[in-house]
Amino acid sequence: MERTGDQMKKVIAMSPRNLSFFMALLLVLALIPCSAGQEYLLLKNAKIYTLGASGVLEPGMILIKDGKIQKIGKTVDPPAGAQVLDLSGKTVIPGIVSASSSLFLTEKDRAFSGDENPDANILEGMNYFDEFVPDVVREGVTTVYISPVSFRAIGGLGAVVKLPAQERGRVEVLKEKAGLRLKLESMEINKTSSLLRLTQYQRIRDFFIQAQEYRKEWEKYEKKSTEFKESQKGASEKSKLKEPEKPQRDEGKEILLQAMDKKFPVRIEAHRADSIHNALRLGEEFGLRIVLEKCEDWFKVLPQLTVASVSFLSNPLMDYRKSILPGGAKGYAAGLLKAKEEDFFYSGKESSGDSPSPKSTKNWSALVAGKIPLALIPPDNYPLSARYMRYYASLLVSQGLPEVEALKAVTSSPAEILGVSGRVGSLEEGKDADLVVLTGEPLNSLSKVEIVFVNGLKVGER
Amino acid sequence: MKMSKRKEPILLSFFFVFFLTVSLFWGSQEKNETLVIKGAKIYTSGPRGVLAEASLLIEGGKIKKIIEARDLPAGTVVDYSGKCIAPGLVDAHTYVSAYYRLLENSRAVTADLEAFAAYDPMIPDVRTALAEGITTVNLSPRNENLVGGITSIFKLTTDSLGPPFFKKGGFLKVSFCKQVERDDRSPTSLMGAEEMLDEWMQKPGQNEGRTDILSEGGIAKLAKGELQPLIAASNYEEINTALKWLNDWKKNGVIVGGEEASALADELKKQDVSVLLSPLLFSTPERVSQNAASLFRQGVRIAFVSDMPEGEASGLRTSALLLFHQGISQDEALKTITLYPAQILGVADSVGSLEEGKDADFIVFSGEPLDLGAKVVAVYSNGRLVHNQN
Repeated sequence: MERTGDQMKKVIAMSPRNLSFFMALLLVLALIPCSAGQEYLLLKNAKIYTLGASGVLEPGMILIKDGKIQKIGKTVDPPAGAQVLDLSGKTVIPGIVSASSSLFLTEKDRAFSGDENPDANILEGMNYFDEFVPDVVREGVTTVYISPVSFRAIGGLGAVVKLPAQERGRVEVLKEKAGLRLKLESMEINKTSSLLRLTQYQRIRDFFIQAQEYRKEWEKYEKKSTEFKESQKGASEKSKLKEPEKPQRDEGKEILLQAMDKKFPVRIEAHRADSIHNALRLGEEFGLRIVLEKCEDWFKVLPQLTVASVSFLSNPLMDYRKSILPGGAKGYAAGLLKAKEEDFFYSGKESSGDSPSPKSTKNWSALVAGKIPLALIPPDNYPLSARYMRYYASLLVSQGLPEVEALKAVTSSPAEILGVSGRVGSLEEGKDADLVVLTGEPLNSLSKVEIVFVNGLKVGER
Repeated sequence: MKMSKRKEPILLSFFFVFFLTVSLFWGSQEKNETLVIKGAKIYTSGPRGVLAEASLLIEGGKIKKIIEARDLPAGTVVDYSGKCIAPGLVDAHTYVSAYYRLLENSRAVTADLEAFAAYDPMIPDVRTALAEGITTVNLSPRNENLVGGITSIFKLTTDSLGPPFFKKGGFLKVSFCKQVERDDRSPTSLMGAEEMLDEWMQKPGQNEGRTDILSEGGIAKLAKGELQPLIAASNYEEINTALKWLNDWKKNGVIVGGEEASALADELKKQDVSVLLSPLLFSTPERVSQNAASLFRQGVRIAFVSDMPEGEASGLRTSALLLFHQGISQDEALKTITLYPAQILGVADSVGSLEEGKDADFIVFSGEPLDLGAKVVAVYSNGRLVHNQN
């Protein structure tokens, strides 16, 4: 009860600037009674990939209470009366984190193309009772980043949420304003070219420059306003200044300014090498913290990526020939998109410099050598694609990434990139009891998910 | 005139040299060298099941013997100990390399067109398919025409000389899919499509000169039973229409698509109709995977297809994996992309499983065939290495 009281004070102390903050807190508060009063639960005899300081425990034990990991180690002494779950022959990994997803968006929202909207907050427009969520959490994905999807240059603010253990359960927000979506990909009548993409870059650049101007305007106003106040104190009527005019508030520009102050990263969708270059230039010019999304062509710009110290989110299945538009090749085939052959597929023999090189040149382990943080995202805009993060990690293994690194790319690494590693992404004392029990090695696709815990609660159990 | 007369001998000698090289080239390939593929776990997809450690003896592009003993006969030995071997995949419905060329959109019925005319072995997708282990394909006209043309069944190859055929005329592609219905020509509805097909079947050979049909020889062959229909039908009503049509005309056919086929499982079994299922993707809803598993459990013969390039080459293996996760054994799940499609295409006497006397088409995996973490180490077609990971 005390804890709840504290939290309430916090709410009152904060001036409620927008609704979403309230909603986030309310959800957190609502969740507390769910996990409170839980008995001790001890998981034992499992092979545990902690993804934390303790490495792999073979076998190990985890003690869970109140939705948190109380203790983890080779042996843990359970308190009297603790419920014990014997997991001999099983493996345990942290709940999987998907660094991007199309969950909680209705089908229309997934193909939304409104105006440039820096202050569109996903939490204000999400579909809380997404029918796809149970399928996703059942496969061991417990934390996802959600974001407005827009074809426009500036998409809006994303958030990190925990998927509920029960169907239609409450969605806990781990972090709001977790990233600002930018898109450097541009289409005109379903065609794209590097010049078109450069135009898109310039559009985004203009937005940031306007935001800088906006800041200057306010600074000027504040300076004048102090001068005005000072002058009011003066005795003589002559020295009194005219009151300066207050500039208009623009929430969108303020969001862009916060991004420039590195309050949150910008997540830039860039596919081809030229777009990635443009993204890095944006970052440099405006001092942005950059998370690159998709970037199928990363291997062409690997040296620049290493220098720029960006994080990046990708998927081995991603193919910009098909991922530019929702529906992709299938959409084209269904006659939904009237595009021409060369916009999607090779027009014939491999010729243009724009076409992707064969997969074999993508050496994913080069990323590890370059110390570039890598997290996996689903390959397309379908919400259910977030289910199989584990398989995408397996694909990375088949393409040369060491297994440990591939496992990191769906657990600890996305947690760090999303800024929620204090709570999820690894199994350590004090962190959330989000874990996945598997029948075999985590990255063998033939292993099955047996049990999933979210905040210490078994998925699917009431 | 003088010029052309002088050209002829040059041309002739050029042809001579060309044929000499070609025959020499083929000769060197056909040489009956014995190849021994040593020591691997073999998923035969055949009656011998899974062999924990075995070797393949290959002669003349065929599997001469599957040896479980340790001592091996003489020959070129390739060591794959510790790896897994599975049959080359059979893709029973693909547009690989020819997607845009497999659509003659001028009429609703283009019954004589041969899909093979659109095949281009130089397109990179062919290499991608081979690298995934697809060695046999059924290249099909697309779904947009009521009668699209004739499919071709052949071994996939990047040889510019062209592939070895099983059947140049495989199936007659018929489609009851949504894409057939168009505003600017008949048919505009599913009912219309069925009626239109009936009309032609009633008087094959008397429709020449009609503007809405491009050559009807294919339909005549269908009526005579020389060609089997391959009917694209995905939803319940489309499959239902296809089954009714097959029943009306007393034809045996194959359905491709089959997303809602499990609701008609009994009828499919009664009419002995096999179903080629669209690939299960990572974004596919659970009910579609359940449909595949349900068909399998009810005894309908199923196989997964790639639909390249609408789908991916990797879609075959992904589909089998997702079927495995519906509770089907790994061996059986693997058969839905090896043996069963070969049986449905009628080429199971030479491909689809690893058995003595069959073609030496196989994939070497670094791990279990359906583990996505396992990479394709090598692919052999007719005993020849067609893809190597390095």
